Amino acid sequence: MEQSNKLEGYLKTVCQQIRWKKAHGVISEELENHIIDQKNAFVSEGFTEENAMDKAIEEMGDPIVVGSELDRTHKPKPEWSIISLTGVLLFLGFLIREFIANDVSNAANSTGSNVVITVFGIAVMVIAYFLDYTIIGKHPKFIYFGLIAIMISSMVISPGTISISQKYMGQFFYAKFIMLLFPTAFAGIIYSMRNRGYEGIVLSGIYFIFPALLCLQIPSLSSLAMYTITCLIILTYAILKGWFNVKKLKAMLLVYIPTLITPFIALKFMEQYQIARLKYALNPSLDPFGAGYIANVTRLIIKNAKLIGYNSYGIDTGNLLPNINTDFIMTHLIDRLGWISFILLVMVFLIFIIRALKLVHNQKNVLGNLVSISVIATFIMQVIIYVLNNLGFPLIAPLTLPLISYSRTGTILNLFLIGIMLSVFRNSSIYTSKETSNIKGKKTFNFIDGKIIIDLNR
Amino acid sequence: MREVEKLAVNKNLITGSTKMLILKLLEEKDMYGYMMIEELAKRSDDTFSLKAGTLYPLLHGLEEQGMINSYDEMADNSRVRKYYSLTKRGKKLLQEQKDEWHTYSSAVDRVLKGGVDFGTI
Repeated sequence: MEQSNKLEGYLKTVCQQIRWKKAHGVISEELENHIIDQKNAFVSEGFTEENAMDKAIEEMGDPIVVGSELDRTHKPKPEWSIISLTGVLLFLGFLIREFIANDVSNAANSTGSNVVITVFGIAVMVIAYFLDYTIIGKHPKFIYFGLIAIMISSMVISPGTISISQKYMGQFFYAKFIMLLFPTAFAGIIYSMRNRGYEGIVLSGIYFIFPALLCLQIPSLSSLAMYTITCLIILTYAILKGWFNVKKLKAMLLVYIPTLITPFIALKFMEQYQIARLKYALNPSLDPFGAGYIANVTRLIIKNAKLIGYNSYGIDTGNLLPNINTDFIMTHLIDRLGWISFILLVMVFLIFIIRALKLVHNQKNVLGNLVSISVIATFIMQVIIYVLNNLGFPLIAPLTLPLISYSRTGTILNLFLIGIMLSVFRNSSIYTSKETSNIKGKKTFNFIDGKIIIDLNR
Repeated sequence: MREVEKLAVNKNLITGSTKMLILKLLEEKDMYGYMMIEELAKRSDDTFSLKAGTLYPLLHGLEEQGMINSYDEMADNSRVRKYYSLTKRGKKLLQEQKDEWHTYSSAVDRVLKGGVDFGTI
C-alpha cells in the first residue's frame, strides 16, 4: 500500500510540472512501467519489496527536473500549415464572391453576410479545435443519434421550399448540409467496433444505412453518393488496419459486394428524372436545351476560354448559367480570368489536401486517424464533385466548393469539420496508439525465446 | 560568465552523446526505455548509468523531432510496453553524429598523444 503511494507521489510530482494535462496519462504510464521493471529487477537481486521500490524511485532522478524537462517537449502543437491554408481559402473565397457579385447581376451574395459567415465560421472552427475530439470515440452513439435527431427535426421544421434559389425547391435544404457531418459520426461508430469481427462490420453497415435512407428522403442522390463513398473510405481503412480483427479479404468482400449490388437494384426503383439526369450527365448533347442544357453551356464556356484573360469572343456569359456564386464559380472564373485562375485555385486545394493527407498518414492514434480521414474525405468529395460539375460533368449535383462558393451553412459546417481535424493534429503527439497495441502484439509470426511462433488465427 | 558557457558546452556534449547512444541501440532493434538503460549499462560495463529521468525526456524529444517512433506492445504480464523504433531521419542523424564523434575523438586523441602522427611510424 505504502509502496504504491510512493510511486503515485513520484508520478504526481512529475505530472505537476507538465502543463499540458492531456499528456499526463501517457507519461505516467510509461514511467510507472519503468519503475516497476526496475523494482522487480532489484527484488530479484535480493532487495526487499520496499527497499527495491525506494531504490527504483531514486534511480529515476529528481521528479521536478524530470517533469520540467518533459514539459518542454510536450505541448499541444497547432498545425499552422492547415490553419494558414484554411485562412487562404477563406480569403480567396471572400474575394472571388465579391468579384462575381460585382460582375454578375443575379449572383447571390452580400458583403455583410459574407463577413458575418466568415467570422461566425471561424468561431465555430476555434470551438471545435479546442473541444477534445476524443468525445467522438467516447460517445459515438450519442453523437450519431443526436445528428439523426437534428436531421429529422430540420426536415420537419424547415420545409424544402425555404431556399436561396429555385434549385433547392422540393429538397430539404439544411438536411443536405447536415449529411456532411455523418461520416465523422460514422468514424466514431467504427471506432467502437474494435475487435468485433464480422459482426462489427455488419453492425457498421446497419449504422450506415439510416442516414442513407434519410438522404433518399431529402431527396438527394448526390448527398447519398458523397456520404456512401466517404463512409466506404473510412470502413476500408479500418479493415485494412485490422481494426475488426478479421480476415481482410473476406471483410472487404462483405463490404463491397452489397455496396456494388445495391446501385443496380436502386436503378430499378429510381425516378424517371433521376435516370434521365444520369444519362444527360454522361452525354449532355443528348438534350442540349433541356436536361443537358447546363452541362452543355458549361462545356461551351470553358471551350472558348483562354489561358489568361477574358474569353475568346468577349461575350458576356454571366446570364447563361444559374447560381454562379453558389454552383459555377470555377466555370465563371475560367471564362472571365482564364484557365490560370482555375489552375491556381485547384493548386491551393491540392496543397491543402496533400498536406492534410500527410498529417493523417502520420497519425498514430486510431481514433484520430478515422476522424481526420472522415473530415478530409468529406472535403475531397465536395471539391471533386464541384470541379467536375464546373467542367461540364454533372454526374451528381455539387453541394459547395468548401470555403469558396457562397453557402452560409456549408461554410460554417466545413469550418467546423476542419476545426475537428485540427484538434486531431494538435493532440497527435500525445494520444499514442493504445488501440493498436493488440494488433501489434498479435503478429502472424512471433519470435519468442528463439522459437518462431506462427499465429494462424489471423 | 565563462564558467557558465563551459558548463553549457559540457552538458551539450553529454546529452549529445547520450542521444547518439540511444539512436545506436535503436538501430539494432526496437526497445522500451528500461531495456535501453539495462543494455547500455551492460555494454559499457556500467560506465554509462543513464538515469531514467534523463532518458525519457530525451526519447520524447527525439520522437517529437521525428527521429524515432513509438508503439505499444503487450508484455507477457499484460502490461503495455512502449517500444521505440528508429525512423529514416533518425538513421541519418545517427550517421551524422557518429561522423562528428569520430572527428572530435580523433582530434582529442591527437592532442593527447602530443601531436605525433602515429600513422607514419
